[in-house]
Amino acid sequence: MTTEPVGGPSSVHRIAGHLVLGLLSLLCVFPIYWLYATSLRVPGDVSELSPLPWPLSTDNYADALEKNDVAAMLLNTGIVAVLSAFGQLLVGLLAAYAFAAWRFPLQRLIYLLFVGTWLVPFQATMLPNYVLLARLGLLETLAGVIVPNLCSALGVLLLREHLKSFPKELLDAARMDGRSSWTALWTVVVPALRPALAALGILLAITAWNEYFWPAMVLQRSNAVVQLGLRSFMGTEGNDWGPLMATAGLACLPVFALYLVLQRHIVNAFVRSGLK
Amino acid sequence: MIEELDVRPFLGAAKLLHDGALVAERYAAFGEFIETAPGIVCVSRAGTAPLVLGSTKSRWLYRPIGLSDRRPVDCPRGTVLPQVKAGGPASARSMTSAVHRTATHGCCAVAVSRIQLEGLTRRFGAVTAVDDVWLDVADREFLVLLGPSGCGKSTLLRMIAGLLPPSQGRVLLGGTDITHVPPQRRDLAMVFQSYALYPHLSVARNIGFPLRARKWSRTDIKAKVAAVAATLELTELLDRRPKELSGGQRQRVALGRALVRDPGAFLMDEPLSNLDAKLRATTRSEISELHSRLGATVVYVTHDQVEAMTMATRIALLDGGRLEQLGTPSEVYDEPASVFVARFLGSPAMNIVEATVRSACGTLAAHGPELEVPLGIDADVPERPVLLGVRPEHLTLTTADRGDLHAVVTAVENLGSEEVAHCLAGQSRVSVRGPRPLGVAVGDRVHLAAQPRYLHLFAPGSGRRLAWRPASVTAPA
Repeated sequence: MTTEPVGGPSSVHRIAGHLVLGLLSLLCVFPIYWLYATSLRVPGDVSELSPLPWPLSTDNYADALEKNDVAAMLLNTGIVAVLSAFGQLLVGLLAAYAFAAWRFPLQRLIYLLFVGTWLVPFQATMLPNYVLLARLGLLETLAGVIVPNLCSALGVLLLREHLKSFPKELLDAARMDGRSSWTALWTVVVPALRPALAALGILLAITAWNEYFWPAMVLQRSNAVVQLGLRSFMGTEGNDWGPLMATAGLACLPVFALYLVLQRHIVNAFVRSGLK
Repeated sequence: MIEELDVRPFLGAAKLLHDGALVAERYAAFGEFIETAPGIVCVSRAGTAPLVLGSTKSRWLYRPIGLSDRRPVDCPRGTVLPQVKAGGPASARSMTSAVHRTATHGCCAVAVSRIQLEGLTRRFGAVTAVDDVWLDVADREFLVLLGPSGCGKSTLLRMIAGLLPPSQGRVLLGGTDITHVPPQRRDLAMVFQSYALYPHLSVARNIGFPLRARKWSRTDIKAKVAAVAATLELTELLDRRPKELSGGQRQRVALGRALVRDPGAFLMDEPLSNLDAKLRATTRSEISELHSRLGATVVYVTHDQVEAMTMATRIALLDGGRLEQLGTPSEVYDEPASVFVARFLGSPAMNIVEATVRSACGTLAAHGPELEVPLGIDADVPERPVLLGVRPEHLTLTTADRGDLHAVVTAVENLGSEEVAHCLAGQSRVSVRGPRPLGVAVGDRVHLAAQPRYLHLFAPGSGRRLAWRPASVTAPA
């Protein structure tokens, strides 16, 4: 005789739960599927609604590659994403370390100012930033896209929360073991925070990768990054859906790759962390 | 006239001191009770009497040295200093330097690992966590800082480590002032309560961490780590991560990380509190053995009296940030300096009963409800209230006519080899401990007796120990 464990979820509940999750994941995956499905149709069939693209064709990709230097665009976008994410992580890490591990005068006020910048809408800082970049001569350059985004309040906020729950005794131990505050950051804090840093890094890199508006302002005369490149397929007479979807499909690939690579790293780091 | 003087600014632990001359005159013929104190420096209010430099030994009498008595007090390192005017920070400073001078002159070869704390104080806002603690930890000593949680022992240890700056006072290591030296440049290793192992590093790299910070070569580190791992039986585990270790293994890795550096002294912050009872007992003896083998200085924080009694060469008992008593385990157990110490050490705690000391027919006895205990002192002093203390194991069951204390049994606990009977004598709770069976049952009326040498007297107000000073000592010179 078998007995149901007391208090466990009943099979009806389990099935219902899985059903909801399945539907949700379908909802998330479908637009991406449709993007790739459309991009792989024969150029004449792009408006077809058949769920399976048949016959398959790579003409849209050829078209897209011909009209734009997609490889250069991807490279530029990659540079912007990586440098922005790296800069934000670095600034966030140093600021969060200071806020979490040190006591200094006006600490609370300075922290509130940091967080406050998060609440200021982009539209309010857009024009002053633009004017500043113009004076610095950084318009129409990738540096102009990256520099104003080097510090993010979000990064400081998230990392500070992580560091607040970081065991202080580890920092004390590092100092007793002969590390200064600075070397303790790199030998103890950063390795132990790897999962959080990876997660935040992914978030920041993808945000920078997907950024459209700011690059569109700074790089008005060129299609240096891929999100601007997509623009060129949208015209007043309608959109050129085939190559548009193909370019978008290509633009998504690095993001998927990044996530796949770092996701393994994240899981691994979680498993290996010996924190109680 | 007996006067209580406030010597708080210098003493930290107790306020008392009689005017020496008057005391001597009045009670010279009979002897007197005087309160003992763990003080370092005391001074009369008039500021004219010489100072007493207190000892690090628990047992010295608070001596009215005012006018007639200029001999050193009965403590090994105590010295009578030249006159210093009382009051104000200036005198505190000059006393500090006087204390320092004596300390350095008194010792011919200053050991490297000697740790001295001079008036160490730490305040957090309005709260004083550590209050004017003076300690001298000799080289190779195993000093246990003992006290209930919140007594300031961990704060004190963190100040020695340099992880917390003191609000006042100095820390000396081997005679050098290290108060403002950052922890990474102090020659001290620390074992933390949570072990604080680096989660991302293997056992080998955890142990080698302090050596890498000191830029040792890779081969040297490897050899040293292997040697330390062998002593701690960690060789098999060198490639594992902290996560994959049991509590006891983690504890040994933390110990290894401290050992690998050959530090001047070890600081340990409740290193056994996360282990289960059996492991704690074995690790306790391992650490003791390690201490005697390495001959290292250890400052060890714990709230566990068993750890303190078994491991320490000396115990410093703290309460409310103040040093209550400093002494060998037997000294603090046999002659507790205050009611707090008496109650903190021993299980069950010492019985403390309110009583009045009275002389009858030329001998002193403590009187109270259901209580008449002869103190074994032949003298005649005015009646005074006291707290009478006696340990449960020093009370014996006897017959009604021989009993000094009469009580009713309220509960009997079986400890296996021994039994503890909890009784009620008048309003006071009293426990008796003895080999099983004690031969009493709940509801029995019992008669208890204790030998005078096992009796402790405390002053009801301050809770300090009262010591009997025979007449000969107080006689004017």
